[in-house]
Order: sequence, then structure tokens, then C-alpha cells
Amino acid sequence: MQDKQFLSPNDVASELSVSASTVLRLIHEQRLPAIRVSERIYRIPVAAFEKYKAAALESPSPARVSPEIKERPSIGAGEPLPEAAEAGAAVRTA
Amino acid sequence: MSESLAQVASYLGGLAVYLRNLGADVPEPVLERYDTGEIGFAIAAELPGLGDPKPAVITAQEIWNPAGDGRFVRAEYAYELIDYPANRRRAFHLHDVPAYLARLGVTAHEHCEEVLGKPTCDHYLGLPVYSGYEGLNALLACWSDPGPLGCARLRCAR
Repeated sequence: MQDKQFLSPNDVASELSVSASTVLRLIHEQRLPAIRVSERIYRIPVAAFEKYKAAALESPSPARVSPEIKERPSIGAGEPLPEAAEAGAAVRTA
Repeated sequence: MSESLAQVASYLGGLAVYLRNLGADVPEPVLERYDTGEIGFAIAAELPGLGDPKPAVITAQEIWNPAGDGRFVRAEYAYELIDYPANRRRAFHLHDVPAYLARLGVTAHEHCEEVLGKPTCDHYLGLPVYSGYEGLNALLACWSDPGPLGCARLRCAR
């Protein structure tokens, strides 16, 4: 396991001596952190599995709200805007 | 959907813990208040694993507009993965809405670089990302997959 960065549910099942379906249940119940790659594929970072084994997973708590009023940042600052569409060009929709 | 200030603070705290529990290093998040009446945040997470030349980083930035009665709606975002060890980048953006609508006819756009700093297209057409969790999970899925990002399958919005 040392060289791997990610584990499959089967890898975790083997480590914990439980079934893969038990591991999937832990993932679905959000008790074991995992990355959902597709409907049926999950990857568990080794670092997340170590936290799970050490019972070191955190529970969510609200972020602090700043008492200060700041200048509004510009998201995407520095990113060049796309070229202007030519007059009469069709407008594309996503 | 509008949320109260407390709900947005809980959502932000949840995003940070989501990343931390996956092994990322995330500083304590702060929900900022802006001079426009909007609120927002920016978080940066160093992902675990190879740190050569430096760790992969995921950033999430959001701005929420006031919607009356002390509630807010998510109006702009940028979710970004810069995977330094794999030398690539993936991002989901929604910002400068009037400009993008006028120039591309879409609001959301994406960035995809199979080789970091060498995009074959500056902006790809994107679909809206409905929450930070959706954006982060999509980026984490890219990070966890050693295969190509699949930029060639996206539609260039040039």
C-alpha cells in the first residue's frame, strides 16, 4: 500500500477484512471519505484511509464570518476574456 | 436557491472539512463580507501525495449576491485544479457573466490543459456547476485519474 496514492474499495476491504459492499456502505454513509469518479467507481486517497483508521476524520463546523468589510475580489482576474463575436455571428448556447 | 449567512458559513466549513478528510491541507476558511453587500470566500487546498515539484492544489472561490431578507445566492465561482506533479490544469468557471454572454453566448466556461501552461483552447464551453461539492469532486476525480484529462473531447469556445 505504501507506493499507492489511491485505494479501491476492494483494497480497503482487504485492509479492513470486510467485504467490498461494506466499504461501499461506509462510503455512501459518508463515514469513509472517497472520490466519486463515476456512478460505480470510487477512489480512496491513502491519506484519507489513514485518517479513517486513526479515527481522525473531522466533523463539519461553520466557517468564521469576517467582521471586516473588504473590497470585492474579481474572480477570474488576469484571465483574458474570449474574443468578441463577429457582428452577425450565431450565438452559441451550452 | 437562496441561503442565509449562517447557511453559507456552514456550507463553506463543510467544503473545507470535505477536503481535509480526503487528506488535503486546508487553512481555516473565512467567509468574507464585501463592500458591494456580497459575501464570498477563497480556499486553497494542498492535496496529499507527490510534492514534486510542489503539491497539487485545488482552489475554490465563490461570490454570493444579496437576495433580500438577509439571504444570498451563489453568483460567481471558480474551481481549479493545478496538478503540478502531473503538470496539468483543469478548471470550472462562472464569472464576468455579461461579457461571456455577449462574446460566447454562454455564462459557464472551463479550462483544460493536458500540459500546464500550454492550452490548446483558451476557453471551453461549460455547463453550470451547481455547488462547490460538485466542482471539487469533479476536480478530485481528475486528480485521482492518471489518464489524460480529455481536453480534446471538450468544445472550444474560441
